[in-house]
Amino acid sequence: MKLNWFKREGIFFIPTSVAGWMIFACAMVYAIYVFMDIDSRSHSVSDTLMNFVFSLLIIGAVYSFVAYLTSTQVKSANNEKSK
Amino acid sequence: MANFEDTLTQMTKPEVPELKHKNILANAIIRTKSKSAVSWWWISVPLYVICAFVMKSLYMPHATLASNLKALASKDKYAAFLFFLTVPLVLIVVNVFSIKEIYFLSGSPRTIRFFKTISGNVSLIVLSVIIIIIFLFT
Repeated sequence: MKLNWFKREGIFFIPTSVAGWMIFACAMVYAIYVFMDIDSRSHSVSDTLMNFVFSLLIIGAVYSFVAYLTSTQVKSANNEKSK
Repeated sequence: MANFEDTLTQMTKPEVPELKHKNILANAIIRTKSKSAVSWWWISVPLYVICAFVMKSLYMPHATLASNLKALASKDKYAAFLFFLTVPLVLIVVNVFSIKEIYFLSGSPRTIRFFKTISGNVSLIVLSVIIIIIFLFT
């Protein structure tokens, strides 16, 4: 199945379709929810930021992996050779 | 058709306007760049934790990187093994195969341009090895 939901710009995957934007929106909403949850339990600004950055990196890692799998993939070298 | 015959007569050696091999190499480089983009995100998690522990050991008198990592490994065993062992190992394998593919497709070059192309992957491999060493030997 050939999906074209994201395009890569450096280390970031930019959504290019409705499905891609929905995944991006889900990631953003979850990141905001995590921020509010951490902020409600933390004792200082640095406490909030330290814990939030860790969660944000995990969200970013999962998002980029999903985006990598659903972005336009060029054909593998073996497929090209067999043609 | 006449135009084609003229071109043929003027040709002194076989000419190939675009090699297919060139496309295969370009695709391999694009795939490698995409893989390394994902790899940077995954490696940032253990690197961030190590940086936080190093800062903690600098500012707290009795805390060391080793003691903090041991505390993390005993508190959250699976997460520690996932981010400090499994992820770096997977990244090493993925990036080594990517470099190997580009190396063979580009005809085993030893040029600065080739090393510039794979510098991101090499950095990822080095960082992954450092994370594994820190996790296993501290």
